[in-house]
Amino acid sequence: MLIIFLFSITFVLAEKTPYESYLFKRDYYLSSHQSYIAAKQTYLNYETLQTKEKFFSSFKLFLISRNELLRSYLFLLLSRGSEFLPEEELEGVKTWITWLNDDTQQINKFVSVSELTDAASYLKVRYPQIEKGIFSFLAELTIAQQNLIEEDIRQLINQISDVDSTASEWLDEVKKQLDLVDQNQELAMSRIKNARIRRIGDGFRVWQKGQRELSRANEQLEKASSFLDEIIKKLEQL
Amino acid sequence: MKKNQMIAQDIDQPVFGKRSKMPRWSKRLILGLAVIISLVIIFSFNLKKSADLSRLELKEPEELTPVAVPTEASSPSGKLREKWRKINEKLEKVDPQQKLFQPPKLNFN
Repeated sequence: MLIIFLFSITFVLAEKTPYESYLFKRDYYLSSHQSYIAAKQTYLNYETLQTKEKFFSSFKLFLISRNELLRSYLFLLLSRGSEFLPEEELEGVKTWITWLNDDTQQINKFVSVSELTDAASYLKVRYPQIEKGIFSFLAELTIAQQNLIEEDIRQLINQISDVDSTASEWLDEVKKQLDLVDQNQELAMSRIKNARIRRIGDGFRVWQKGQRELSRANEQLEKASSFLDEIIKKLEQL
Repeated sequence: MKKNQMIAQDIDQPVFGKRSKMPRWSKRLILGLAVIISLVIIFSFNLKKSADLSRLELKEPEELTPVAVPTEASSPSGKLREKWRKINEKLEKVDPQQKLFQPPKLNFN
């Protein structure tokens, strides 16, 4: 008993990172989904009070674990986003977390299969918009990371022009690449934000289009960096 | 005193000092607890360490990458090269596909 107590304290004290917590919830969700499918099949084949009770409890657990998985994923996004994005950009994710908490509390109160069937559709109806929000958030996250690099490159351009005034033509080429980065970022965001979302999966398709522009923006940053490499090499030879 | 009795008395006597009055079961209990507590401390330390390591993996490269790269930092071109290196390292870590942060696949059927 003592050993179990001490080990449980150890596990509680060992702080989990958002990513570890997400992976844990994902495994739990997958196993609860399997149990739900098995219990449902058994109930449909042999309709008894016992199989009905088992189906109800596994159904409830499945819905709760689904909410918990999404919630832990949103926490992961929050922790990642807080490193790059301002507080107001995180508000949307916080709102979904609050909604999921309320939904889980509601599910916990339900006592019949029909109530759970209704509850299962709540997230289904809302998820396309959440999905769109998630991909929009990921795009903003990428843009914020790219902008930090862009800022560094602009600082480096200024430093180079202070050291060597003859490099202005080559530096203009670097600036052109940075302008293209901005254009591609804007295009990606407008594609994602203005997209019509009707069903689950639409968000991902829109993300794929927007993500292409963001990959292009990254390529242009790499090009700008390689141009700078050439300019610095020229300076080093002087 | 007979010889056999003297030998038996010698065996019971500790070599140095007096034998402790503490019962044998309590000594074992203390020893057992000490072992368990030390195991728990080692175990929790390892868990904490692994949690810290995985947290580090999620952190931004700028905090992880070693800052000191031997260059001729005093020269202007050396400073520029140093800054360029840092930019390049940051750039390598940007994943426009955000593979690590893709949403989970949820089942709605």
